[in-house]
Amino acid sequence: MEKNDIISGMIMELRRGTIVLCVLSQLEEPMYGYSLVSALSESGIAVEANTLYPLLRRLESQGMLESKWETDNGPKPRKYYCITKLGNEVLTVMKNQWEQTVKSMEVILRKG
Amino acid sequence: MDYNELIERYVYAVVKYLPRKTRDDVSKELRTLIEDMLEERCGLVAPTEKDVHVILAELGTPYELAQNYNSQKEAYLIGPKYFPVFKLVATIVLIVNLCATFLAIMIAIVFKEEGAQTITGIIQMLFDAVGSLFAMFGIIVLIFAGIERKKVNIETKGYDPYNLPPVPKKEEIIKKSEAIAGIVFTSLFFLIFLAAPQVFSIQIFSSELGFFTVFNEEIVRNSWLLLFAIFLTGIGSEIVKLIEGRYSKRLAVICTITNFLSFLLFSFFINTRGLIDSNFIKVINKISSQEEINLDFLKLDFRVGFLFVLGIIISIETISIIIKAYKYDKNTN
Repeated sequence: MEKNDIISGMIMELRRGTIVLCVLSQLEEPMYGYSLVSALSESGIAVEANTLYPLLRRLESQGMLESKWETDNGPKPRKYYCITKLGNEVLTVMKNQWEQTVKSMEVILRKG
Repeated sequence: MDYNELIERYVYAVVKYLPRKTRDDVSKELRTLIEDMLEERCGLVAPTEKDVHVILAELGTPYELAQNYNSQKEAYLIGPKYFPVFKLVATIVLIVNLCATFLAIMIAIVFKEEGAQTITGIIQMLFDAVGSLFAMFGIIVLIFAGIERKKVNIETKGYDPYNLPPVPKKEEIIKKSEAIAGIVFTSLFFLIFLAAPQVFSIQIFSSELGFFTVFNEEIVRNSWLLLFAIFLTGIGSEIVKLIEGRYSKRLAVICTITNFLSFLLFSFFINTRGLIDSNFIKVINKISSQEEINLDFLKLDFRVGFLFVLGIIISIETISIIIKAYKYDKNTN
């Protein structure tokens, strides 16, 4: 396997879980898919729409997000997603987990 | 082309891979997404077909996008969890099916059933047998696809590391291919023997006549039940080897019994009245008188010799299995 393939595969693995965390953390207020793509990319997290849209749908089916079609804000109907109570509970646990992981990783990587 | 048409084609190409009930919703969502992306790309300028083209390329192929939407479900016919069990079951069932089909063909030949009287008829039956193998495979796949969908729990409860069987040593393992080859050859041998006992013939050069069949065709076919039993004992021990997969005491006991039975049944068979073709005996008598050589041993000692050789072969096999089982099976109870 090419070195670049290995690297991009590993980066994808690393990002997979973090993107869920990013999405959940941004949806206190309802947002639609593309606005979330923009918001995340402004914070330096580049997520493709073709990954994010399916992800939103999956989180909704797991009950962590809820959605509503809104037509009020303009001519286009848009699907707005918002975090649920379950989503918030999961987010709290995951945030703690993330902070612990970062701490441990810093120690480990410094040793290495 | 109108750029809306291009968008519609793309959206349709994506949702056709998705579950029916989500198609409308995903279509609506994708259209707004593409419009949002166009807006960002073109601002207030009216987008052109080329802009749409760029954005659709960016979104990736419809199949890829559909895969992203579907990845939440494990879309396997038979997933990695069940595949090893599927493989094992399929192998055993197909082999047993193969043997059963051979038996069925043998019986059909013995009873001269319709369709089994000619070579073409028998070939046709073999083709049907292959067809039935595929059908059987299809059924096993369907059953496992059902198990996959229902996510049936197949792991045994109450797992205890102490109950794991000891690791077989390399020479202790019976290769699957050996047992399968054994089954196939046994089946073929009996199939040929029943269908055409004349294959076992002797060519006598000195006489004016060519080939002489050793066994009487009629008698061979009449003792089909006995041959059938011999076949079953032969196949039986090979199937046990296939399932057991190693030399064990259990295997040794079963093989000793089946080998002994084989020998016993074979000695009954070889002593069947009239088994040796009367023409064959006549020819031998004729040659004996003509050439003044005593060929009587061919008549009289034939059975004894045959059983002697068979006995030696079977004994060697049985003893080697017993020795291997005793050598390798010390760890198990």
